[in-house]
Amino acid sequence: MVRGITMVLVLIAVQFLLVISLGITGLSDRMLEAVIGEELRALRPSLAETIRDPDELEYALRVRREELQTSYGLDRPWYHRLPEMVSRVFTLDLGEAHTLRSFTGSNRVADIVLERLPNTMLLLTTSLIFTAGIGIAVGVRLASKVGSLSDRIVSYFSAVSYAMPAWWVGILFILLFSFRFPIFPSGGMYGTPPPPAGLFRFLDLLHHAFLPIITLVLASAGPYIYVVRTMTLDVAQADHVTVARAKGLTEKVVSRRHILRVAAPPIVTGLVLGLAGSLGGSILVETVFNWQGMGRLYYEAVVGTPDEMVIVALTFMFTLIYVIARMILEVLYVILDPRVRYQ
Amino acid sequence: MAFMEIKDLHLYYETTRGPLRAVEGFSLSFQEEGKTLGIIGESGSGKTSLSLAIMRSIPGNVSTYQGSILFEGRDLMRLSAAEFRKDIRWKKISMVFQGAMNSFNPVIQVGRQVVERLLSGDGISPRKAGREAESLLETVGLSRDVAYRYPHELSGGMKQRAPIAMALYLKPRLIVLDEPTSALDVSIQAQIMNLLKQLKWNLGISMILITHDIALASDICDYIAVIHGAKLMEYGPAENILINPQGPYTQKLLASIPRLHGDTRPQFLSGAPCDLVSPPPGCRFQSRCPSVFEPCREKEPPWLEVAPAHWTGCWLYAK
Repeated sequence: MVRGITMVLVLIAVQFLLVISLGITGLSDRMLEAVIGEELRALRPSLAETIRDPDELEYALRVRREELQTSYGLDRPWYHRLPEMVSRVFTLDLGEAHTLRSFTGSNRVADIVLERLPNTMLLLTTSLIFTAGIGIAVGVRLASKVGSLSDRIVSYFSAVSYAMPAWWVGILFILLFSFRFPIFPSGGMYGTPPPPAGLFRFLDLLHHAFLPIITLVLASAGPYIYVVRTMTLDVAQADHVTVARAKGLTEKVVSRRHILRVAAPPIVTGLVLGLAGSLGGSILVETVFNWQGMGRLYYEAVVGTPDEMVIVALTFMFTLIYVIARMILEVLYVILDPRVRYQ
Repeated sequence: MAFMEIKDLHLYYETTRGPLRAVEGFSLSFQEEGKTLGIIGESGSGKTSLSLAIMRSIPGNVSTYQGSILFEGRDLMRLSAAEFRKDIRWKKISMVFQGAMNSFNPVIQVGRQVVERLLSGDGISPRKAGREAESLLETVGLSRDVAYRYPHELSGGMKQRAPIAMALYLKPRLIVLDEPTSALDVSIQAQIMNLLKQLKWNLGISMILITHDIALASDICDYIAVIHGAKLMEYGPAENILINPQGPYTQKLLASIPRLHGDTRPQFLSGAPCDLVSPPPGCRFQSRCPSVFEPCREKEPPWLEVAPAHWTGCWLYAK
C-alpha cells in the first residue's frame, strides 16, 4: 500500500519535473510560439488573397495570433498553463496534438499514442525476454567459474555493451547487415507492399524487428549478465549453501533451490531497472530503425515543429510503463521473498 | 576397531604468501561409540578447518587435502564425491555448522529444510515430511509450528536449535558440532548443552564438539583433544586432561580460566599462535612456552603416552 502510494508520487513527480523543466527554460513558450508562427505562416497566403491592404493584413494576422495565444494559454504564465495540462493527462484526457496526426488521420493524442503502443511493446517485451534468458543462463554459469577465461571475456563484453550507445550499435548493424550484406531490412516494420495479413505478414514483421531487437538486447544483456553473476556469486558463498551441500543435496537442487531462488529478487530487480534503461534507449533505436513506435513518435514530437501535448503524453506513458513494471516487481517480491510479506 | 580413526589429516589453504597450514598431520582415534569428543583450542588454531575436513565440506581455496578417515571400515577420504554424498552425508555423519543461525535458506520454511534431504528425490509425501519435521523440532524443544515459519521469524536461540533438529533427521551415528553455543547468552547456552546431553544419553549419538569454551567442553565431553597452531597438542580422557594436564600449552590454557573461589588469578598466554604459512621448525608452541629448551626449536616433539590413553606431544616427556 505504502509502495503503491510511493509509485503514484513518482509518477506525479516525473510529470512535474518535466513541466518545470519545460517551463523554467522557456522551452514550452518557445514551442508554442513556433507552433503559432507556423500556423500564421500557413494562414498568410490565403488571407492575402482576400485582404489586399497590407496594414489590414498585418492587423488580421495580429488578431489571429492573439486568438491563438489565448487558445494555447500563452497569455498566462507557464505555471498556470502546464499543471492544467498535467492534470488533464492524469485523467487520461490527452487532448489534441498541434501538428502530429495518427495514421488514420486523427489528431487526438490518445489515438496517436495508442496506435504506437503495441509496436513499442513488441520491441520492449521481446528484447526483455531475450535479455532475461541470456542474462540468467550466462550469469549463473559464470558465477560457478569465477576468474576463468570465459568469465573474463564476458566481463569485457559486459563493460563494452554497457558503454556502447544502443543507437550507434543500431547504425553499425544497418551498415553491416542491410548494406554490406543485405540480409535484413534497414528500417520500417513491413516491406513494401506489405504482405497480406496472416502468417506472411507476421514473418515480415519478425524480419523487420530482428535488428532493432538484437540492438536492444545487446545493449542491455551485458550489464544484466553481470548483475546476475554478482548476485548469484554473493548467495553461493552464503553459509546456508555450504549446509545444503553438507546435507547431501544434489548440486542441481543446491543451485536451483538454495542459490537461484534466494538470488531471484535482486535478479528480477535488475531486469526491471534494465527496462527503465531500454525505455529511454528505445527512443533512439526506434528512430534509427524507423520503427513506428512511441519512441519514434517522441522523436517526431521533439524535432521539427515541437508538439508539446504529445511530449507530455508520451512522458506520461513511459513513466506509466515503468511504474506498472515496478508494481509487478513489488508483487513478485512478495511471492519470492517471505521477508517482505506483510502481516 | 575404533569408532572413527583419523590418520595424518592435512588441509592447506592457498594464500598469496604460500599454503596456509590449517590442519597439519592430525591423527586421532575416537575409540568408543556414543561418547563425546571435545576439540578445544584458540581462535585460528584450525578447529573449524578440522571439522570441515571431516565433513568433506571444504571451500574452494584449498590447495592440499589428504590423509585418511576410517569410519565403519571404510576410508571416507577414498570414497567418490557421489558415494560420500549418498552413503555418508547426513545419513551417517551430520553437522551443525558454526554460526548456526545462518544455516537456513531465508526463503524456505524451516521445517522443509529440516527434512529436505528426503523431500527432494526419495519421494516421501509432503504431509509425512511435515509431521517428521514437527516432531524433530519438538525433540530439540521447539514448538511444532516452527516448522512452518521462515528463518527470519525465529529468535537467535531458536535458530541455534533448529539446525540440531536438522542434523538429527536421518539418525546419524555421529554429529559434528562446530561452536554450537557461541553468540548465545549463558541461559540459552545452558539449554543447548542440556539438549546435547539428552541426545547423548537418550539416543546414544556420538558427537564431536568443537569449542573454545573449556567449561563447556568439561560439561559434556568424555575425551578432549587440544589443538594449537594446526597441530594436536594433547589428547586423552576429559578428566585427565582437565585435572592433570601434561603439556605446557594445556596447562597454560587451563590456567587462563577465571575461578570463582580461591585467590588464583587467571593467567594469560602471551603472544599469538605461530604463523601458519611459515611455521618455525620444531614445536609450534615454542615462542610462548615457559619451559622451552633446546630440542623444542629443532625437531618436532614426539607423540607420547604419558598416562593410560593420555597422549601429549612435548619434549619434556622424551627420555
